[in-house]
Amino acid sequence: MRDWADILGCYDGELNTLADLAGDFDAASEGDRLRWIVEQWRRVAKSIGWSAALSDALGGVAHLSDASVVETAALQAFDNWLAQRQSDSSRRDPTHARTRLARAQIRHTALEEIERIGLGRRNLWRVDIPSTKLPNRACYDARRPDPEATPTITARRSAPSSAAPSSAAPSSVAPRASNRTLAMALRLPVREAPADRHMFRAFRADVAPSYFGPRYAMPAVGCSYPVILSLGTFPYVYGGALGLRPPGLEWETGRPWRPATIGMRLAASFWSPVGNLGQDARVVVAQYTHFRKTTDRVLTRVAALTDERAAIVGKTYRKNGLLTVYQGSETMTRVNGPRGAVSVRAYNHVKQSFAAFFAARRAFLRARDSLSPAARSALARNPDPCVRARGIAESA
Amino acid sequence: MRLGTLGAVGVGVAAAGLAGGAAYYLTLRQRSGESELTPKPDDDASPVEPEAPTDDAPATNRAATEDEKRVGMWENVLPLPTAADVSGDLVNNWGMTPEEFRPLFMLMEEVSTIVGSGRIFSVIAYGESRWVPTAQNGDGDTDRDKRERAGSKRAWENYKGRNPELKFGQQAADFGSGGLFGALAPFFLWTGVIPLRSKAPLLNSDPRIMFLPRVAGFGACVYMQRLLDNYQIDNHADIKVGWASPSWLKSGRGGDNYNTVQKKFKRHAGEVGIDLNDESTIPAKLSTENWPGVMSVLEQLVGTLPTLRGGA
Repeated sequence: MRDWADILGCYDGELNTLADLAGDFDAASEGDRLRWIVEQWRRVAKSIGWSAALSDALGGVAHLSDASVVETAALQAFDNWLAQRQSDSSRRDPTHARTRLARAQIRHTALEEIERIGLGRRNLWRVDIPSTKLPNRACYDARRPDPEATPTITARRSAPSSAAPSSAAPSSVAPRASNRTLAMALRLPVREAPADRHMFRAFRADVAPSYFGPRYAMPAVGCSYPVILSLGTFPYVYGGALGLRPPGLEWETGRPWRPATIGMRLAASFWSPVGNLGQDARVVVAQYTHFRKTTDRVLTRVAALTDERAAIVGKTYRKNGLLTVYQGSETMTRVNGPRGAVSVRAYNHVKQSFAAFFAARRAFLRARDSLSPAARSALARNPDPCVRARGIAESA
Repeated sequence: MRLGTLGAVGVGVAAAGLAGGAAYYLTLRQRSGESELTPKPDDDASPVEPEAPTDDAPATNRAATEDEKRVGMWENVLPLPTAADVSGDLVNNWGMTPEEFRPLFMLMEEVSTIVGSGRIFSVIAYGESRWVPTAQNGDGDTDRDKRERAGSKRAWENYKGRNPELKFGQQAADFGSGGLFGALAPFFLWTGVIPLRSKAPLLNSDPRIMFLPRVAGFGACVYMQRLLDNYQIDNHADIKVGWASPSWLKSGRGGDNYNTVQKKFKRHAGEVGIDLNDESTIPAKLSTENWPGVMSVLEQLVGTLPTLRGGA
């Protein structure tokens, strides 16, 4: 008899406990699944700071009976909130509007291509794609935004838009000092190949040992760099940037380009049967195992909060699998470590993202008989040996 | 843990003896040419706990002991208020005020009945502590720490003869300043002393009580009421000027110090993202018309006064 209940135990004995952090649900019940999805949206919104916008959006949805309606409303709320947030900050720095637009465009089109490639590889959770396979080599030229191309982001895991990447033709014009300064401030490259002197990376080359993975072998030279993005834990997309500012929220919106909203959509896609069951979970397990190991070292001194009467104001504690700050702000508190600071907010968000993935995987597999044809198809194509070894994929 | 987070200009002083000590202390800071921090990604304006020991080093509880000593372990501490504890708006015009502290600032507004004060408190807390409740200047050996201690010592020396006795007077003198609103310890412990004299509630408290957000909030409410009732407050930035030094609202009005604090406060509001001109959330003129009194504010914000575990 197949052991359906303990599917997560195939990967790691602790995953059931982790998944419990996100709560369980009956995937065969549309209502219960919807309840769980709304919970995930609320969790993410609270973690990132747009819970009020989400509440307003969901409050305005007359019929919360369809996950796609919830997703559309939530993404629209996120998009509006982010645009407002970035508008506030860009008002203080109005000099780089053109650069922002160019960067938004390249990130947007790159993410669409990443989605296409990731789906083919059965891995969108933490992608690892050479920039040379992405539009414009995932580099932007501040002088060449292409406002004519029009993207779409509303369809779930849609095919990439037809937006043509802007020209990457080398220019003989030397890079402007302001671009260089900006790139350095954003930790973007200052070391360029000769032909790329005027080009800047749209993403960090996250190749150093981090909380998400070991050192990456491929070198990063100019616009030839590995694009490694942890989209499942968006907006914490880089393993070396778990500080106070989620890097995904710094992906500027430059209408009509909305890379952060694409990132948010991809992260939420793992709560759906097709998105979740299409993902090779080995990637997620490996990243989570690394995250757990490296953050555990950093959090060695963080005590468990067992009795609030013995707690110290402002001090960080472990509580129910997450971190909490007694009488302080999780948003403003971080713990230092050799791979960079880990903010309490980032740690909790990332861990809960993993938890939600495994909770959904467990629930969907448990309810495999009620899966939609699309979800069954996604499962059947999944190369994950834990699924195959138990005949789950075949039974689907 | 020492934080370089307190604003360059001003610490909150308590109700008693507003002018002299604070002005002196602030003058010291101004002379130093310090500039206030501007928020940067992951800069030092947030608490950073020490790095973990290396893999082969045994974990110890030494850090916890140091924290315990610096901050104290308190009994009868109410949890931070939540959205359910307030009726006011926690959504609009709060900027990047941490969600954990919005209910506290709103509760301070509701309890003090100073409509619109919540967002002003947030901007002040940002400037003074970057919203870190255990922020302190005075517990280290930097020049700033020394200046803070000099300021608290001067406050103690100048006012101890005129105000009721403090049980922890010497500790307050040596403390410097701290808490969410950057209060100078002796003045903080004298909160409410003008109307209540020897019945002021914090006279017997250890100065570390200012690390408790609700208690810090109590002191800030009383201080704001004192400013609004006793000084010419023409705009919201004047409140911060008074926070720095009430004398700058009188003889110093329009002077360099006055203008500097005005400018910094407005800059801080912009950094936080709070629109000081949004009259739907912050009336143009704050009013203490319905001020309920010091003890009522204490009771509603703090409840039973927390005490250090094992005494005091």
